[in-house]
Amino acid sequence: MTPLDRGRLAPVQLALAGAAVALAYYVGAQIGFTLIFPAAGPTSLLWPPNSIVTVALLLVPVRYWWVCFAAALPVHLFLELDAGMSPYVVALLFVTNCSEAVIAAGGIRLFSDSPTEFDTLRRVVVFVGAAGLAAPILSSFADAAVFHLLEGRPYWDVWRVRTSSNILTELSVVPVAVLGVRAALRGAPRPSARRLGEAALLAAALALAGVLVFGGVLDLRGVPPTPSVLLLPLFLWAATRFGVGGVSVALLGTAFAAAYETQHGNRPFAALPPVDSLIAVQMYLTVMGFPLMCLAGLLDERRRAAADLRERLRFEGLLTTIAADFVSQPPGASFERGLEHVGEFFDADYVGLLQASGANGELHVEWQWHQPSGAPLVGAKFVEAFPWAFGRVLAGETLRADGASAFPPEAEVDRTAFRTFGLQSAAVLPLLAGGRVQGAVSLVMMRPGARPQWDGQQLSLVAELLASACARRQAELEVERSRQKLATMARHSNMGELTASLAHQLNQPLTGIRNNAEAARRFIDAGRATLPQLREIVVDIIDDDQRAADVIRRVREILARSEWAPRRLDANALVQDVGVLIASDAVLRNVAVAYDSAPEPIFVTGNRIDLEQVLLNVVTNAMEAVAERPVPQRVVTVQTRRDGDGRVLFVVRDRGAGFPEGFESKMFEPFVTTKPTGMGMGLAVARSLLDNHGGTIHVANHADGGAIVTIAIPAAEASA
Amino acid sequence: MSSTPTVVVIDDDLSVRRSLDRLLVSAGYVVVACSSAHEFLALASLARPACLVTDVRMPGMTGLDLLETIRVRGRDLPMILSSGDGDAATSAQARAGGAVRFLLKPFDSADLLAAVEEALDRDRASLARES
Repeated sequence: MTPLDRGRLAPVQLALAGAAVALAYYVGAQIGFTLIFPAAGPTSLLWPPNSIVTVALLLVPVRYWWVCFAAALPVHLFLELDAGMSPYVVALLFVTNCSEAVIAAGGIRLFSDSPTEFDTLRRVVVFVGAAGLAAPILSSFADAAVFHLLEGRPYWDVWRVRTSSNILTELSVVPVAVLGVRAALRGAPRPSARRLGEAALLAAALALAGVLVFGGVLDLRGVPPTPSVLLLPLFLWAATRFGVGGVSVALLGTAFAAAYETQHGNRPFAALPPVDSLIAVQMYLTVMGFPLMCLAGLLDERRRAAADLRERLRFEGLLTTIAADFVSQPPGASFERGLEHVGEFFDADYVGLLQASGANGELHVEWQWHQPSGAPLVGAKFVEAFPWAFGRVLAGETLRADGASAFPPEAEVDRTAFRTFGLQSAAVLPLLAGGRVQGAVSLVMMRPGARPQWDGQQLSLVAELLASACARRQAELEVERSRQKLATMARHSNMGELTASLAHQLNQPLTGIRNNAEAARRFIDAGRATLPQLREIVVDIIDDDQRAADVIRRVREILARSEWAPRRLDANALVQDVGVLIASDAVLRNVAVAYDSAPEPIFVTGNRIDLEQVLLNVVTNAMEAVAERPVPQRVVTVQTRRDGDGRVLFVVRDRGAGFPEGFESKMFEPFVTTKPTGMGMGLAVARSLLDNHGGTIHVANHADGGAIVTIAIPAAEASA
Repeated sequence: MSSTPTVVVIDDDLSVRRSLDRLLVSAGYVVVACSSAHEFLALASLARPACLVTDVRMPGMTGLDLLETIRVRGRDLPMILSSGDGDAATSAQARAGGAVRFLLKPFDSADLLAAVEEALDRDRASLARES
């Protein structure tokens, strides 16, 4: 951004701009005077002052145009009055000259998407149309009228000469001046030595050709188009390699050469009548300039389109790479790899991913990547160091700071931290998920003098991708947590609580029975036993036994009653829910779980949690059974269907080793397991839960290998 | 029969209390059965030698509370604690409080009787020291 682009100028800047306009106007006029064709009256080959004003009006915001006019006016008066013209003519000429600049700059500003650039066909055509044609032609009507009415000169002669001269001037002066000023204000990068060498070579070739052509050295008599034959390839060179600016410089240089040689009476143009020779040179250069400028614009546009495409492909490559990272790598590594790719793509020194946590969503660095130069930032407490910046980011704003001066006065802490950390540029983008800020990604440039060309759109796309990856990871953690909770409940809470309660409540009667029986034996052994006493003991033993039986019955009732809220449940939805719970487990174990659901909805009546626990248990068993098999065999299929007896079947099949011989009979006993870490409770609990639903569970080995578990539950009416 | 040792049984469970009473009587002890620690503490006097067999988990004062109370009151009464849930912490607490033995329900009668005999031996020894 230059001050000119911002639209507001400080008084000092305005004064400088005015001074620059005045100076340029003066220098331009002096150049014009040197290029006057003596024989053609007071007319110059080029008359730069008008174009200087055009340049000023293009660069300076419209609201400051008056400064340009005000700066040019005294210079104009000084020069023209000095040349001995009448004050009326001088004043009117200033108006017509300014009208040319207004038409040119106004037209360009009106129709060009970027008035100070000439690098697309559209921009060049607008420039040529407004500044190259409309402005000189229209303003020359007024100019000729002034000369005709006040000085009595022939109207159309004046019009013809002025139009031709001003077309060439606008074409040759405006692009190079505008681009030059812009480059100077923006501190454009130094061109490479190779490019400078090429420019020098082109300039030398043009100078040589100019001397050959306009100096009459190469005088092929009777072959007028000779000059173009020599100059055209060089102009093509300028157009293809140096753009509109190059063509502009070449025109300017060639015009000088032509003027110089013609002033010195050299051929070929000197052979023509003076005014005709002048116009011939102008027409020749103008006619060559128009198409070449368009060609240069078109080439720039194509070059830029190609570069854009290359950049877009590179960026899409980045997105694909990151996305692939998140699919193929385990969660931790995927973020590290992802940030590395982001950092390399944007050529950053440090990339950090912060995640919100806790009740008030405080941000903390979760993952980071850095170049050696970014190492000092590792472990930095960014959120504390940049309270203003992260406050804005938490509010959903994107921040970009190129230099400490980018912080507003209220962000004093941030500004100081920016300097202390030695940052050059930084960008922080919020990671939004569901409309809330779930985190942030920060890119930092540390290398002194580096100005990152970070594209805002690309940054926000990357942020979106990272946000969705974070959200997905969050969801995965959520699912994993609830799955583990459910599994733990099944294993410890549910059955564990039951066994603890069983153990506790059965201890008392068992202790009583044991003591009583032992006492009876001792009395008998000692010969002291009496029948009433023994009877009393036996009655107590029977009572205790009854008590133990009651405990067991009560526990069974509790188990049956627990959370028992029978509802109509879609069997396919149950399987889907379980599928969600086991999905991450399946990925980790590399097990393919295939679902073969009944095409129509089929319903059972029961408790969702209970039935999901049963299914979860059976499917997890199946996955464990195949976990050690070769990958092609790590397949578990879950099928739902109705059988002919009004039951809904859930059939879970794996390609594991199957159940060992004779295991089927013991399968449902508690504490019987084939798994090294199992408690052997799963199937026992499953059967107990299914009993409550009037359902059954059947296990078998499949003829083709693997185990097949069939759960059958009476079907509920479809329209309950 | 002043030499017949006394075993106090404290258990809130009637069935356990009665069966322990019988078992200890069958082994030849005098048994005083209480349904709570407070009931025991309210007893006027206790013939020596004596020991105490108490449940840990009881409403009101627990077996461990009783162990502590007796120790604080300076009474040297050997105690055997028993409980249905035998977590290591309870067992360690019982030992630290000076219990002769910690038995896990349901316990083997022989283990109980051996523990009772050991406790009584200890009480006899302290009786001998006191005289």
